[in-house]
Amino acid sequence: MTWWLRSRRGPALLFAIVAQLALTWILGETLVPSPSLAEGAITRLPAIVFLPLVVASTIYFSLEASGGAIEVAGVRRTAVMDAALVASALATLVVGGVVIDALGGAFTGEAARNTAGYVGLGLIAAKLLGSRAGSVAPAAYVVLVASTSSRTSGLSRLWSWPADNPLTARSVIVAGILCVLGLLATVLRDRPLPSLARQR
Amino acid sequence: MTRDLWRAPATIAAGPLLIVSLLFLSGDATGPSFYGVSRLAQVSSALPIIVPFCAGLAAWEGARLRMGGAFSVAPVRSELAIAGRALLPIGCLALLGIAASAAAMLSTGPSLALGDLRILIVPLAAVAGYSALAYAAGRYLPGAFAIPGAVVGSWLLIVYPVAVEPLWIRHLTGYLSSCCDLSTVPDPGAMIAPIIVAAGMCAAAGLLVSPLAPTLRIGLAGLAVVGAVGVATTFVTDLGSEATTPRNASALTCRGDRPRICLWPENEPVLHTTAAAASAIRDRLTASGVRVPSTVSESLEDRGKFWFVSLVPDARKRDVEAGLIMGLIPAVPACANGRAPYPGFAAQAPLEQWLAAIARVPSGSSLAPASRRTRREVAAVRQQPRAEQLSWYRQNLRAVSKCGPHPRLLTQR
Repeated sequence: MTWWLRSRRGPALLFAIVAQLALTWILGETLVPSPSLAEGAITRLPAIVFLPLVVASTIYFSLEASGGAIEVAGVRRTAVMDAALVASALATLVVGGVVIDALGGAFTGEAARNTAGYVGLGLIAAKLLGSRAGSVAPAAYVVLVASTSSRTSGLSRLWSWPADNPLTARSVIVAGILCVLGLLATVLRDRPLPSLARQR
Repeated sequence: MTRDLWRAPATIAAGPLLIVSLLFLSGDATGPSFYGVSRLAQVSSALPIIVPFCAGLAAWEGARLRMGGAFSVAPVRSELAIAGRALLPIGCLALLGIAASAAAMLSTGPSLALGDLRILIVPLAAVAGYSALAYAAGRYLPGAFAIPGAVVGSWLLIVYPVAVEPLWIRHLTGYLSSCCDLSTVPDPGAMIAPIIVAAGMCAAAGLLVSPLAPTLRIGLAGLAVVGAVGVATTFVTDLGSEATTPRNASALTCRGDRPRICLWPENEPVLHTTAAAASAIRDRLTASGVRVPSTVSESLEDRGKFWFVSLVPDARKRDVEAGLIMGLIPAVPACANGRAPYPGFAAQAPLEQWLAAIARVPSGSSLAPASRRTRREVAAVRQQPRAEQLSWYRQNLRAVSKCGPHPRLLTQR
């Protein structure tokens, strides 16, 4: 257990959680002006679209050490432990967000939603496209959302859930589904995809 | 080597990159579709997609080599040779992305000279700079941070300067999307500056992967980027929000005499319409005592000396008439874009409408509809004797062309 935790770079993950909470507190209300290529005009995106990549990337950094042959052959299901680690990191973020909210911070709910969604997206991509895709998918998605969101026209679309501000039920549901699917993909990490299983 | 190219992540990413960048270009490209310079400048609208894509892939390659232990074993090739081999597919992808974007932009069949293609060096340099630096980041940092950092960081560095002041900062990125209308070309400074910045980034990346001592290479790399940005800045500090300069008047096609009509080659289809409209308007205005230049020109270089007009190839007669009337009003002086008061602005619409009335340009022309105040002012002026009207015209013309003088309006607002 100790070795597992050490290999998962626990201190780095904890540091990232604290750093993201601090950044959300400081920059949470900042709007990042960016040209929306979909509108051909400057739109203003909340910084919480970008900030959750801190924890999302670090979670992937933590899990990079997983999946070795030793772990697959081991008695302990490290895949389940990894999923639990991700869930606890997200839970810590939510609890930290509640504390910051109580202290006068803002947008912590949106930051937690986006972190959960990005982490889920990365874990799904890692399962489907290969391990390194897990770190690319959330960042690529953020760039696509930032380039195409229609904030000035007030339109919110299903795929632009990270830019939904304040929290909408729909955006929380989408992020939640992605997170749950990502955790499931982690739990089932050491099992091949159905198509690969058939080939064997 | 060929096998490497086919199996490279850049090759796999080529399809999605092309689809996404062309989709963005189709939605975001602005400017006249018949002007090649403008169309090629619009290729830079795809940079917010192409740069993060290529930078992400370059960071991926750096991280892949680092994870594979390529740098921790006895070297067979130099680090630069390894980097060159890893970045070659990404370079090909960038070339393909820019070429496809240019082809899409030029599909409207605009006017084009071979020399105009040099505009494409700017987006290519931007992709090269960011990709080289992203590779170096992937070479030293864990992939989990280097890849998303390269994707989001390069995107922010490309698009964010467009939204901040001073306005010239945006011209360091190579994002030329504000360029150009038919009378302008990209400012040379705005083309050189992003190339210098990109060269600084490439030099920094080269230094970072060099065998120098870690502190020295980080210091020199930082110096290369800061130095390049510093030098590039000197080329753009005079520019405002748009990085354009007047198009060379030697490209004009001139026909006829009194009035002599000089239009850009793209506007040749409306040459006859312009000649007829300009002749009629000039005759009527001259008969009323208004001095009108004998040469109509589309060149911004000649504005003030000649009768300025700005047209499009598919302009209708009423658009040409409106353009000619508006061309008789002096351009808003540069001081009006700063903090200097510009009271002459109030006289612009009355002057336009008064000239249109004297030249008997029909109310159905493409001039902006007159407000009630403007109509009242013009009606009051028209009731005055001719000498009084001409005095009103000259005084207001002076007010419009400078920042200080107040206009003379008969119906005070």
